[in-house]
Amino acid sequence: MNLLIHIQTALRGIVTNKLRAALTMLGVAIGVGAVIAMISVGSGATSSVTSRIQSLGTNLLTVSPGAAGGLFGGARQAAGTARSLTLEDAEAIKREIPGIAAVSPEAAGNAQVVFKDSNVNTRIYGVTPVYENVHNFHVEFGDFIRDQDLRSLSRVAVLGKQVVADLFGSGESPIGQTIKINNIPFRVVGIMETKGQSGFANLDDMIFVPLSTAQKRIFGDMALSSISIQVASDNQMDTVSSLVTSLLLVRHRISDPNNADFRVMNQAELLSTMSSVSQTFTLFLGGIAAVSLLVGGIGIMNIMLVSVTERTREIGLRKAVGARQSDILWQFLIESLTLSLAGGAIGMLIGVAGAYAMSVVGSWPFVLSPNSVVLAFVFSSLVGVFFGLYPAWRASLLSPIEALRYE
Amino acid sequence: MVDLSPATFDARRTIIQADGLRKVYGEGDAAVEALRGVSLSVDEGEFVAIMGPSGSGKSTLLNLLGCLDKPTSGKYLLRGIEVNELDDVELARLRNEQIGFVFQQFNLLPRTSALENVLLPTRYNRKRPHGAYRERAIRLLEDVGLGGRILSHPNQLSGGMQQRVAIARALINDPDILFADEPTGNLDTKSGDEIMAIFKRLNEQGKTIILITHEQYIANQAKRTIHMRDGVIISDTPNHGDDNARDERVEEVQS
Repeated sequence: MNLLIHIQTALRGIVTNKLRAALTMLGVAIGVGAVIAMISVGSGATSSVTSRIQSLGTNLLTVSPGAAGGLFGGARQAAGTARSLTLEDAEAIKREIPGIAAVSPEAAGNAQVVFKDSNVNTRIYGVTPVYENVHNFHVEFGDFIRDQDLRSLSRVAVLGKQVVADLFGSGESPIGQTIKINNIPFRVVGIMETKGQSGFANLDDMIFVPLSTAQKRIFGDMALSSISIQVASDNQMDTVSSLVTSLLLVRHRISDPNNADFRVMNQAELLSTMSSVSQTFTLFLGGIAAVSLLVGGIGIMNIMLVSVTERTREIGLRKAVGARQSDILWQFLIESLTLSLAGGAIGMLIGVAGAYAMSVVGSWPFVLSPNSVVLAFVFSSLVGVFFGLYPAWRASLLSPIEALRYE
Repeated sequence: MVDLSPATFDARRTIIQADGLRKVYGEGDAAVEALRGVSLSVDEGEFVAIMGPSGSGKSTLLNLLGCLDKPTSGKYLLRGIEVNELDDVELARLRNEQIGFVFQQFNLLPRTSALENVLLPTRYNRKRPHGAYRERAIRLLEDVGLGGRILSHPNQLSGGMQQRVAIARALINDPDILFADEPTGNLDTKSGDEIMAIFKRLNEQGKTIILITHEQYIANQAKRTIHMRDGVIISDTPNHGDDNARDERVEEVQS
């Protein structure tokens, strides 16, 4: 009964001064919205960066050919030019070294690709079925290269998104079509997912064919351009790396490791970079949350302090006509609670919409942590109610005449 | 103090009994003694004007009598109740039910209709629901000549009209005593006369009225005049119904 009157009085107070109420709610809404948007944008960007790093593969060893020549005094050529790696090397690694999940032998080269009157020069990868998992790069439509394709030297191809766009435009479905790679017809059986840029390579501008087909029909050369080794667990990277090195030295009959005709690249460094990056981002996010809570809170504090302090005379008048201290406190509690909650709800919408819009613009995933929403909402409401109630409480302690004379 | 007013010879009850009221503002060297021991008694149905220069303590006295402020020392009985001993809840009830206060600055809630302003005190009246006073509020506004303006907001009303709304507000809970702190101070002569006419009518209907004024012709319309200076009462005399002699009178006090 009494509460009803208090609610009615408080709501009348809000309705009576719509502009003041709207500005107060706006203050709260911006406070809440800023916190939610900042935290969401921060965590979206973080997860985008970490997932990009992760997609490079942190438990990957890459064996690539060393420099050609040099061994008997000839001119030493650029790294990667030696034709030293073979499919047998890859099979030996897989067979003899423990702690390896998969080995992906790869032969790469450029070739002219033609479909009807479209014509592109792109990178051809001869791969085996494990490529997909080793590189965490999967087919999106159709099939990837299968074991039987390798055995039968099938002329099948899986295209990257960029190649699809270059060759087919947007109209036709490429699957089932026949393209020509160096004038040899290949049937398109699958399309890779979008991977994007990695270093200097556009991972979408590639065509995958069976390794055997690439070696025998396209390149006419049995050498591999790389062997990717997926190690079973991160902490075995160093062991596996040195085992691979010694195995290949023996197989290639090289006694001095300095003369090795291959290189083994370890991505353990990437792993430590990865964890320090994610640590930095965690701190960064915490900082953003703290700063935006502080800024939002101060904004709310200001608007509440100002708008309630301004009403000291109104409080004096209400007391002069018979309001108790508790009547005043109830009125301002309900008023500031209403404004804080309504402002907070609007702020949540603004924050979520803003964060979503920015994630679209920045093309990172839209991440909304419920914790941050609840934290922003509860914190802002508490700040709003406290600083709405505090000046009212102070004014209600004054005698009516002191409050009425307040300037 | 001997009260010479004829009213005291009636069987009327004393409504206000103040004894040695002192009020000090500030502390230490900065302390200012606004009231230096004021004793006063007012009976039911009196119409008292308090006069005095600025700083004479007349507003301070009125605020103490109207329970808007507490004295530093001294005793104040309102209808036999020791006001200084009341807590916040009891004081609020007293202000709500027994006292009507009219301010020089009107003090209406802005952006709120005249009707809602008049109804404001009933929000804090726990006897009857707020809505039950609506008709009474409209009648009071009609009584002060604002029957056609009940939904007007203060900024749409002249000063005199705003003061009449304030008087209607002071009357809504039917208090025994009306206090008015220079109710005509912000008004032109014509509006001031209208306000005074309302006060006189209310007094005739039995309300006890205590008002502050700077102007002799206003004071002349009361039945008793109290002069103050430097925080004490220097004279307390009954008037003899010569309230028509207005403009000719030299103002006794200038501020």
